[in-house]
Amino acid sequence: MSKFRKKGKKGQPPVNTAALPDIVFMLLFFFMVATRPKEKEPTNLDLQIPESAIAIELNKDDDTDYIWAGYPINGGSNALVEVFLDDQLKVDYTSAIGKWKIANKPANKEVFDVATILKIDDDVNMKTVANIKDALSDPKVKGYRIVYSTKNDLNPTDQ
Amino acid sequence: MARRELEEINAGSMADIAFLLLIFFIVTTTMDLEAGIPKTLPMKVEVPDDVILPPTRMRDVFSINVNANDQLLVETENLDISQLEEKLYYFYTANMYTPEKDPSQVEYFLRDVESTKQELGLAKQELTQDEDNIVLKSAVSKLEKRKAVLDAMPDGKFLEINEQAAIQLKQKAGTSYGVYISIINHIGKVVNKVKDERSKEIFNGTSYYDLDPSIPEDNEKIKILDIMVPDRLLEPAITN
Repeated sequence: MSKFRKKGKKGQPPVNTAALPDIVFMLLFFFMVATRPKEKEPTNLDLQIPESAIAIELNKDDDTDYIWAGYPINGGSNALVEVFLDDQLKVDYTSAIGKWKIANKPANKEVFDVATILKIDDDVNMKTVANIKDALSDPKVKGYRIVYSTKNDLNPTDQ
Repeated sequence: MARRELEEINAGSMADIAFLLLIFFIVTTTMDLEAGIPKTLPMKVEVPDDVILPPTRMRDVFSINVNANDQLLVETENLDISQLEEKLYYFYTANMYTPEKDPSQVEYFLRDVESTKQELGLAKQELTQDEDNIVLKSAVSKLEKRKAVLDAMPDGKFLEINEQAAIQLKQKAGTSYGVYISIINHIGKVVNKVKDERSKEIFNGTSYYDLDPSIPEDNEKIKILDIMVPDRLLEPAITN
């Protein structure tokens, strides 16, 4: 039998890795198409977005503005609600929202066309939410379109 | 001179470059689409002093009160939030199907094409004489909506909910946002359920949930259902 044994080094032949770049590029293109960039988001907010069974998925190409509201992480029991416009902390948000909406709008659009996505924590009180909504629906601002950002509820019947 | 063979370009590091890009994209992007409940905030309208708005009756308004401890008072009862849907569904449907009417719930009126056309003609005539009257303007737009629904009806008749019908959601300053969204959620589910029933009734069994707003024909149906099952939400100013 030893007649057929190859001479020279023993061992496995090397695996051909020429196709590896192709596979990785395929994955890369998949991720480029199927995902969208993460929003600039405030990092120090403890944000628990409420769940909803009637939420609608938003078109990722639409122009949107973000308002974030929540309590700071490690803020203790008497921490105050912090409101961020995009990722800028605004303490006097009621007066700042109007100017921010108008300054943020694209040149070819009206403020009304740009929906404001409200990313608000479960525990924030309605007074804060009402103040934000009041500032947006000011007739001088006309930011009437809002979206209450929610997570999709996977078990809608359990609620 | 001996001819040297052309050396192959070493593509071994190509995979490394591609991996690097791949990992960059995985880290900086996110898969989940933004989801949420879209709403349009009410416009602030100044009502002139001389305009008398039609009165709202208690039976036409489904009232929900939430206190600062997130407890609910629905109409006149203390309810758990899980019971809200049943109660609201009854509000919408109590006088819709059954022959015995419940006088404490919202009223329905039977409309037909002929009388609506006449009313619309009269209202438009009145509006030409008094163009700035906001009550007349809203009356005309309501009649036009009613006519649009009637045109879609197979038998030219439909039970119209009282135009004053609304859901009133009173909140306190300390009410939590989570409970508010939960209530909005329950309201939305009931409204969708009623729309689904009506859709099956008038569009030959087509479910409301199967309608696709990007198809023009379906979009028309959705508009009609939106008029038939209004979900007007009144949010009075928040008190402490």
